[in-house]
Amino acid sequence: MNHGPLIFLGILFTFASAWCGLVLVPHQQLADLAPNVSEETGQSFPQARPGDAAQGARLYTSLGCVACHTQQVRPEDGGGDIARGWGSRRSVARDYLYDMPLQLGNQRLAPDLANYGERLGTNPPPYLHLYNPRAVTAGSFCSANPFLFTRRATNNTLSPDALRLRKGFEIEVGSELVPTREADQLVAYLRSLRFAVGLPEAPLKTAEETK
Amino acid sequence: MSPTGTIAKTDALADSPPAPPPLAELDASCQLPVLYFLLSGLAWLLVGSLLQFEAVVRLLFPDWCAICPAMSYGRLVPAAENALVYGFASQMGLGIGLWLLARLGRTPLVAPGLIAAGNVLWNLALTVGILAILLGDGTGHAGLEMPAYSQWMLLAAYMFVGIWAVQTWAHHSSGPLYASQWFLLGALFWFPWLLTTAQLVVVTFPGRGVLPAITAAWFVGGIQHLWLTPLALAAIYYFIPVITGRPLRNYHLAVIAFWSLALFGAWSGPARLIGGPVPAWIVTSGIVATVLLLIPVTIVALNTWPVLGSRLGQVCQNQVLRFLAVAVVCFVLVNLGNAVNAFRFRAAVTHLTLNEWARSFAFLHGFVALTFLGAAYHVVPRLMRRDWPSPRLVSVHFWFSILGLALVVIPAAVDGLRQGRELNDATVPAARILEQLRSVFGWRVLGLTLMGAGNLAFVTNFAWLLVRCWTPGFKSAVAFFANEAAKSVTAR
Repeated sequence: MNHGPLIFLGILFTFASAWCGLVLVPHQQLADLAPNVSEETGQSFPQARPGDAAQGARLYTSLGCVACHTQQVRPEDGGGDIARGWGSRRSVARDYLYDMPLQLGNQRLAPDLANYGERLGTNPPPYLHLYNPRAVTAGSFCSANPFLFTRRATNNTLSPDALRLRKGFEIEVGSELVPTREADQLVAYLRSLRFAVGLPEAPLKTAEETK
Repeated sequence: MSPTGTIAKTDALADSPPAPPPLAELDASCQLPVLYFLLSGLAWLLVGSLLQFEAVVRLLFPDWCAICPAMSYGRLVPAAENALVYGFASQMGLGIGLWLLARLGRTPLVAPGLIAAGNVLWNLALTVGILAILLGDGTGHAGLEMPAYSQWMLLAAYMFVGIWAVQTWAHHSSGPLYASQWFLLGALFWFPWLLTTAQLVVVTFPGRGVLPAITAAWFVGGIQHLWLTPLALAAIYYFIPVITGRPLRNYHLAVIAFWSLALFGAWSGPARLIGGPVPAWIVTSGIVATVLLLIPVTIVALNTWPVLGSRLGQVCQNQVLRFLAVAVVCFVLVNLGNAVNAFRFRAAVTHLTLNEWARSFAFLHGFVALTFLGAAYHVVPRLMRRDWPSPRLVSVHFWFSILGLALVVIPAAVDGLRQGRELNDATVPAARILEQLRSVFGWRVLGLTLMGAGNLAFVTNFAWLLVRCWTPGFKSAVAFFANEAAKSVTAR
């Protein structure tokens, strides 16, 4: 270990082995991954996000929601994500073809959002949570985002899109809070988070298997 | 310990014959850049700690400052992380590393003026990057949140430092190379390779889908095991034998530690994607490498613990050794925890929980930070030719740091296990599990406050030392710096 050039070669080769193994090979393996077209329905999955949702994804990234909300469903033998109802199957590489940047996350201080759109279903969109998470879940430590809403004067009747604030969170009489365009985009993005579609590598369970 | 006596004694030990340039000359060549790196590292430590503190306060009081998006928890966390890794740990590590290169190679630092210029550019790049994250221009890639423009600037800044550091390394005096020199050479090359790859593949020309995430995970593992770890081990392998006056035990094994760290450290990153949507073989190779990292970790323990154990009295008294002793213990515990929790059945519980967070916190603030801060206690008096004004402030720094670290890490590690177990139990509502983490955040506020107070003690001591050195001859100091800069320019 007294010859600089030899040490350098060792430093280079150990690094190159990992570079080839973990950067080059995955790029070759996954480069051709394409959306899956279902034989039954003819539908392609995943699909690129429409403009509003794509803008919302940017806002989601910029605000750093990923610091607490993961977007990954682990396999059944690797955690309780599926049992908890965060997804009907594990997430796989193909699900994220149109996610840029990927918001997998490494801390769960809040529920996983990989399938949030699926869970939301026909429920009212989560504007209240975005305004102040405490207005929905007492004890939540999610940062409030009042900057996503505009305050404007109103004459007694609330406009249809105004926030219905419950007791303890009201603002002064004669004014109302309405979502900004950014809030709408963020909601569009959250609605688009869903992958309850079976893929060859990650099929959905049939009703019998679930039993 | 008597101020100048200690310096003379440890220097005599470091200075086995023959040593062509006197140590004072080596130190003089290092003074400007090393001092710059240490001071700016300290400044970023304060900034990063403040951001970290604000982040946890936002968790406890989520409606405070809510109107300001720059104060969102999700922006404060990556801003703090980047400030601490690239601002504090990397700069302190480089400062200590440069000094070690000159000392161990018995050669003055090459182009200290240009290295100092690199330091200025580095700080500029980082300031831009952190502000960009806070203002919402972060990239969103885990571990690479700073936008492309600031990361390319960082890489350019590193080139100023790295090229001349490698030059200094190459000028080492003939004779056997010491373990610290292998680690330093490795770190000096691995860092730019890691950063260039990640820049190209993740930020500037990202691949589709999960590809950037795989590369980012590999990069984060590399920053831990191929950049911060070798920089810190270089310091540990130098200071422990030099200050105790005893050679490392089982030193012949150190070469295995180096090569196994080089190999397994480079492969370990993807273990953090366990359970994620990536091909299983990628995660598995990361798990295998993370477990095999126990080989270098065990050897580091075999090299250092017998020496520290045989000089326990001195370790407890010495300003530098006690920092390093705790750092080595943290290094072993964190890597042991990582190896155990890399297995799939353990990861099912601990992955994505505060237990995992606690281990990465202990790595950065226990192992890396304590090593560099401890080493600074040895290096700064030699650069300034004057001992620390207040030994008591050094003790305050040490004890506050250790106590604070324990208060942050232990509750998070323990409650993280509960968090993971209960999240896997679908009968317990998620909101209830997460709400109970509040007490951990309370401990974190207390712990971070103590750590911050400890670091302030260090900064006070440092400022005091500088004032003492510079008050008598402020003008001559200015002349000296000008002279140094001129010398390095004419040497080109």
